[in-house]
Amino acid sequence: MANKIFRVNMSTLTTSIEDVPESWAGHGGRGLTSTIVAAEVEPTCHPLGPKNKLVIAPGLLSGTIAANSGRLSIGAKSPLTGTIKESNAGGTAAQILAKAGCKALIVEGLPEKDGWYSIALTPESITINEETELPGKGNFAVLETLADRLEGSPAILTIGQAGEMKMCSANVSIKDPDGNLRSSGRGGLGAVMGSKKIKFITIDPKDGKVEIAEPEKFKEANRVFAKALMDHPLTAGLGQYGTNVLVNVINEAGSLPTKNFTAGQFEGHEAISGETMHDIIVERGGKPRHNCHAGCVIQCSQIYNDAKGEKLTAGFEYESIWAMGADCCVDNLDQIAEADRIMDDIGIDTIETSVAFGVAMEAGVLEFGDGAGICRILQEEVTKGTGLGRIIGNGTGSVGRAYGVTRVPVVKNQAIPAYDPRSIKGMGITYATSTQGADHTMGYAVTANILGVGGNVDPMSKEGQIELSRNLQVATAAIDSTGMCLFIAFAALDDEKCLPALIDLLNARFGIALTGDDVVALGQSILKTERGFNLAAGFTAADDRLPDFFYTEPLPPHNVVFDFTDEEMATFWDF
Amino acid sequence: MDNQPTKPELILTLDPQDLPFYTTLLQSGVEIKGSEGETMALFLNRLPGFTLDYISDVVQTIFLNGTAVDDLTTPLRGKNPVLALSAAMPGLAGAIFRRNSFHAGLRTQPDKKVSKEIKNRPLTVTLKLFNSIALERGPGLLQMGVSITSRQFVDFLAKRDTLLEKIKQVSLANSIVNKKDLTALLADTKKIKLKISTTHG
Repeated sequence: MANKIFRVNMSTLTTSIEDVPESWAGHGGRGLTSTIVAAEVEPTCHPLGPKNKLVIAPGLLSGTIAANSGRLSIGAKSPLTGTIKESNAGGTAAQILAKAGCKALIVEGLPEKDGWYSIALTPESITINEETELPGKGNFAVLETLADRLEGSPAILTIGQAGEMKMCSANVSIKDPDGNLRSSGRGGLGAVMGSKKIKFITIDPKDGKVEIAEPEKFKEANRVFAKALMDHPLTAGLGQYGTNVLVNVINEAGSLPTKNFTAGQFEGHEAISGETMHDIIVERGGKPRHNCHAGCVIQCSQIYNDAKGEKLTAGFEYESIWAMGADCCVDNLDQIAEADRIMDDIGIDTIETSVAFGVAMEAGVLEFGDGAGICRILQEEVTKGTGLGRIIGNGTGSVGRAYGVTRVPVVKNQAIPAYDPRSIKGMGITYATSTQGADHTMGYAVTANILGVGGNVDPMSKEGQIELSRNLQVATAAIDSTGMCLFIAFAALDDEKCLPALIDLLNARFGIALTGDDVVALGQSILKTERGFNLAAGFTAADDRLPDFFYTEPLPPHNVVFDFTDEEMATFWDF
Repeated sequence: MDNQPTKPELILTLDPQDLPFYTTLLQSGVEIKGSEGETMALFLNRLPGFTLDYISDVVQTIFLNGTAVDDLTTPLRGKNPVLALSAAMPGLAGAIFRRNSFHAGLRTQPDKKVSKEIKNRPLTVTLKLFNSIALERGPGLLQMGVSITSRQFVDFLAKRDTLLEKIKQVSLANSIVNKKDLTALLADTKKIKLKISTTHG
C-alpha cells in the first residue's frame, strides 16, 4: 500500500488524500511533522488560530514488526512555547496509522460555526463527522463510549476538557493496547486539536499492511535488534521498576528538584521511589511491567492499583511522580496516582501541570505537601475551567505571571522536568538550547559516541560539554523519526550490533542504503529545520537560557549554580 | 560486622519467598563498620555476594556523599560517609552518572574540600542499596544482619501491612515477642541490629 498524505480542512469541512511530495518521502515521525510544520505553517501565526496545523505522523518503522517501533509523533506550533513542537507517545495509533497507509495526517483551518467534530480515517477515506455526545467529557468516557459505538479496535486519539478549553498544557491522549491512555503531553498540542474543534480521531486500518522492501533482511535485522534490547541490563531494570527507578538515584545525586526547585533532595523520596512503588504494585495485584504499544520488549509501563486492588492509573512515569511528589512535596504515592489519573482524564500534561502546582504552592494557593488539595483543584477548578483552573491549566509560566512568583522553572515557557540543571549541567544545556522548550527527552539518545559525532573536544571543557549535548540532540532527533522509543538508545550505546541493526531495519524496510553518517545528517537537518522555524517566529539566542534563579540561587546539598554564559550557550548552534 | 553491644538484635523469621520484599528497606541505608582510607572496592568486597566481578560489572552507578564516583579505588573518608549503589540507570541523567560514562563530562562537579590526610581510624559507612542491587545482594546482607534505626524499620512496616502479617516469628533481644507489639517495643530504641532468617513451611 502506497503511503499517502491525508488532509483535513476544518474551515471548509473538506478532506483529501494526496501523494507524498518527494521531499517528504525520506522523513517519518518527528522529522516529518517538523518538516511539514516548517513548510506549511506561518511561523508568526497564532497557535490557536486558523493558520496553525496539527500534523500527526507514524515513524519510519511504525506498523512493522520491528521491536519498540510504536511511537506516534504529533507536531504543530505550540501554544505553550510559541516554538515548533513535536511530542511523541506510545499507544496503538502509530502502528495502525502506518498500516492504513497514512504517511501523515494534516489538520488545518478552523470551523466557522460552533460545535464539535470527529475524524475517521481508513485506508480509502477520511471523513469529518459532527459529534454531540462526547464534548465536555473526559478521556476515559470517550474510550468507553467509543468501545460501544465502534466495531473492532480502531486507534483513538482524543482530547479531554483541557483540550476543549484550549489550555496551553492540554495533551492529545492515545489509546494503548489495553484501553489505557498514553499522552502526547508536552507543549499544549491538545489545545491545537481543541481549537480545530476535533474531540477525537479514529483510525481503522482495515486489512492494511506495511510493505517491506526486503522482508528476509528485515526479519534478520529485527532479530538482532530485539536481542540486543532484551539482553541489555537496563531492559530488566526498566521492566522491574519502570522509569521511577530514578527517584532514589537522582535524589542521592542532589538533583531531584524539590519544593519548587529550592532544594535537590526530597525527604520523602523513599515513599515515592520506584522500589517502593514496585512493592505496592505487587502487593495490590497490579502489573509492575506493561507495554504501551505492541512489540515493546522493554515494558517500562505499569498498572498501579489502589488499596482496594482496583486499577488507579497506568503508565506512571518518573517525571510525573517527581513533579507531583518532590516538587510539590507530596510523599503519598496513592495521592500522586490519583492526581495522575485525573490529569489523564482531563487530558493535561502531568509535568507542566504539576510544576505549575509547585509554583502555585510557593504563591500560597495551597500548602506544599497538600496532595488532596491538588486533586481537589484538578477536579473542581481545572476540569470546570474556573479562573484558577485556567491559570493552572495554562502552565507553569501562567501561574508565575498570575501570582507574581519569580522562581518559575521554565524555558521558552515550558516547565523544566525532573533533573535540576544546576547539579546536572548537561541537562541544563539541553533544556536551554532545545528547539521546543525545556524537555528532558530532547537530548536523550545517548548514542553519540557510536555515531562518531562526539568526543572530538575535551568533554570536561565547556566547549566539549556543549558539543556533547548537541550530539545527543542530533541523535535524538534521528531516533524520533523512526518511531522507535528512546529507550532503545541505551542498548544502542552498549551493544555494537544494535545501532547497525536499526540502520539495517530502515534499509530493509525501504530498500535503501543508509549509513551512520546519513543518520547523523538526518538529525542535524531536523534540528536546523526546527531552529529555522523558531528564528522566523521571532526567537533569538537570548531565548536559549535558563531562568535567572538557576544562575544565582545555589542548590542544596551541593550548593551549585548553572554557570554557562549566554555567549557559551550560543555556540550550540555552530554547526 | 557490627558488634556494638548496645543495639538489641531483632531477628525476623520469614518464608524464603517473602525475603525479597524486605530488601526495599535497604534504600534507606544501613550502617556498616569500615576503616578510613579503605577503598570502596575492598569495603564492598567484604560484604556477602559483592565479588569484585559483581562490583565491577553490575554496580554501574556509585555515589559517595552524593557525588558520582568512577574509580573503585576511591578511599572512604570522613566520619560517616554515605555510599549508594545502583545498577545502570536509564535516561541522559542515568548515563551521565554511570561509572566511566562517555557522558560523565556533563556532570556538575561540586567544589568540595577533601582532606588529604587519612588516619586509618574506624568509621561507620551508611550503605544504601537501590533497585536490582538491593534485590540481588540485599538478602545476603539481611541474613548477615545490619544496623538500622528503629524508625526506618517501623516506617517501612507501617506502609506494608501484609509484610507484618507474613512474619513467622519475631525475636527481640533474645526474647520471642508478639509481632503486633513490635512498634511499641521499639519506640524507645534508637538503633537495632536487624537479622532475617528464613524457613520453609
